[in-house]
Amino acid sequence: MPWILTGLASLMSVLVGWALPVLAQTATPPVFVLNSLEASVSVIDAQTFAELRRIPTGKEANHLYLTPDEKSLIVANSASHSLALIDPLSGTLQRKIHGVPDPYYLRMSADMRWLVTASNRLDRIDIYRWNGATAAEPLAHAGSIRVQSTPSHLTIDSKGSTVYASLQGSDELVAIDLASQKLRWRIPAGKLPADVHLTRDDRMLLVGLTGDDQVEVYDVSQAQPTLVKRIKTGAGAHAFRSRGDGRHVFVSNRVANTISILDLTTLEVVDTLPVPGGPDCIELLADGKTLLVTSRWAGRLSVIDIDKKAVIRQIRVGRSPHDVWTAGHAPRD
Amino acid sequence: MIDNALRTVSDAFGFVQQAFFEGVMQPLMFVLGMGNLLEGGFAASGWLLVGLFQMLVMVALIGDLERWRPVEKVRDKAAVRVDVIYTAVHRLGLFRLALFFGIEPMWNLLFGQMHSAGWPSWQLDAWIAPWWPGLTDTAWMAFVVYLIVFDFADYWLHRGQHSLRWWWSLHALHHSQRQMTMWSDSRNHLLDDLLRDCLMVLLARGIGVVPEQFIAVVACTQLLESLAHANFRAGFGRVLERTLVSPKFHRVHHSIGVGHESSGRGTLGGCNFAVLFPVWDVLFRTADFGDRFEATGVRDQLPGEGERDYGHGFWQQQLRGVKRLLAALGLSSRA
Repeated sequence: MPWILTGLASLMSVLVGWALPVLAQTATPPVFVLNSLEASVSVIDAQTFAELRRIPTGKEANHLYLTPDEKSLIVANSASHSLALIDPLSGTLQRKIHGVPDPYYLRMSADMRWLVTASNRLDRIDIYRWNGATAAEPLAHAGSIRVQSTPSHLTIDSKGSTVYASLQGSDELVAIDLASQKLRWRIPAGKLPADVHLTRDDRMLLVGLTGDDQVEVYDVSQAQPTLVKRIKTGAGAHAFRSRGDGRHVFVSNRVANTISILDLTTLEVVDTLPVPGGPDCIELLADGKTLLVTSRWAGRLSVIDIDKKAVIRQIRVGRSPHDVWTAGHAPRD
Repeated sequence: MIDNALRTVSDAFGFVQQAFFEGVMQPLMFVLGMGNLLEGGFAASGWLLVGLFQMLVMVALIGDLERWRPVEKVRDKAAVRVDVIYTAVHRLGLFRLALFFGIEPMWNLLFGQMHSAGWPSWQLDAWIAPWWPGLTDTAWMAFVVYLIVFDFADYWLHRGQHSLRWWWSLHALHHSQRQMTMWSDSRNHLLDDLLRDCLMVLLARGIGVVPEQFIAVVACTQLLESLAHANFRAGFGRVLERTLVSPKFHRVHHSIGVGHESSGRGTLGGCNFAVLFPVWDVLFRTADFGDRFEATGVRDQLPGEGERDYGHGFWQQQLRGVKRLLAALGLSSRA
């Protein structure tokens, strides 16, 4: 019965040949990079680091956020006044939501009740009720908070009760109560506060000072925040990404062209990695040792080996790459 | 293939832009406390480099053409030097910088409020998509589409400058250069530029195009405009002459009594309004493909026609433009 064996072998090889690429595709989710000046999102193979394709999403795609049910990656297109929803595993465009004024930055509460956007050209923070990605009207406008100048980055506490925002134009921080959509507090901060990062216990708020070379740490566990420490990182301190070990946080320093690693227990810089081209947003792969960093001025995604402290690869993407994300990431806390 | 070639050019440009921005502009902006404007600064570095490249091409290439086959000998070099100032102000980004800080926030507020009030976002790409899906996803096709749309708008804006007396009072400064050279393209009244820029921004925002997307469109348009104004005795031949605006075609537009009058002495109008593609003049019956190189200027500069002085230095020309505007609006008796 050699012909049966041969036939089976052929069938197996065909099946394996078909299945392997599919498995490879599903085993390693792609990396998404927002090309803020090209109205598109680059989809990158996380194994080969080849750019697979670009998804046209909308003008000035700056930031993204995964819905907590992990079904949709929401891309905020500030100049298109729209949100684009993408399947986080396949990269398929699910839908677009129009009529969202100037969404520069966005966050969704863990209970998926609230979606908050920072409208940095309109000096306001918009709060929406989230009705679900498949609802006829996914967003219901709940309220807007007028702020002094240029709201930049946001973060929401784990209870979904408070949103913290940095105001780049007026060098301030604000906390907003989501349920009442009222300002809880407003304080002056250092020069050009950008990304805000809340520790997993909701106690400490880290603020990157892009107009300086420091990170400010505030205790926000009380009714009024108190400044705990200023940590010198590098010129243009900007965006954060937790290392996922509950202890360390990465900080990009856009002007210094470095990434600092902060120890949250000592509030000290424990290491510094060189990253060229104006490092901005950061993602950490599931292996815990590979950093993906958007190099804004170079139009590249830089791949960093943390152990070697070296750039091991740079992938050409679109102009002014901003946020970066993959489902195959290390834990966020 | 075209996309690959564009990508190579874009890569080379990106490399130079990054080096310039990180080496010069970013440290300066950081020290000046402008860290929140880094993205804008990076975009500005692109415009500045494009401007420098344009001026290099003008001096090295178009300048050679002017020396090779001049229409006329340049008699008043001081007048041309003023046009060089206009070119530097525009091409090196000073004018754009003023708009960024002065006008841009107003546009952001206006369009943001419109979206808040429920006005729909309108995107040219989305409008084209049902007929030709993915057209503007291809870099060079997007470039062509934007080029055609903006050139069509430019044609009508230019006709507006020649049709409304108050607008002509400003635009006449552009026509008042008696020795037209490649530097004359940017010789415009600042209010004329401001108005034109506002209308183009309205169009760009209206069709959902951000300025950084058409940097290449603007760069190519401006270089061809410089060539069209050159003191260069040349047409493009029977076919190409009708495809792209040539120095001969545009010189007719600047000819005294021809390019700025439609129905006789002192009337408004003219011919050859196209900026890049003469097809608009052909379609709307304003084309004059006459084979001639006549004296340039405005009729009221001539002896016996009023001998109007449009000014000699940059600020004098600007001031006189304001006076003409006030007179045209009936707010002053002196022009």
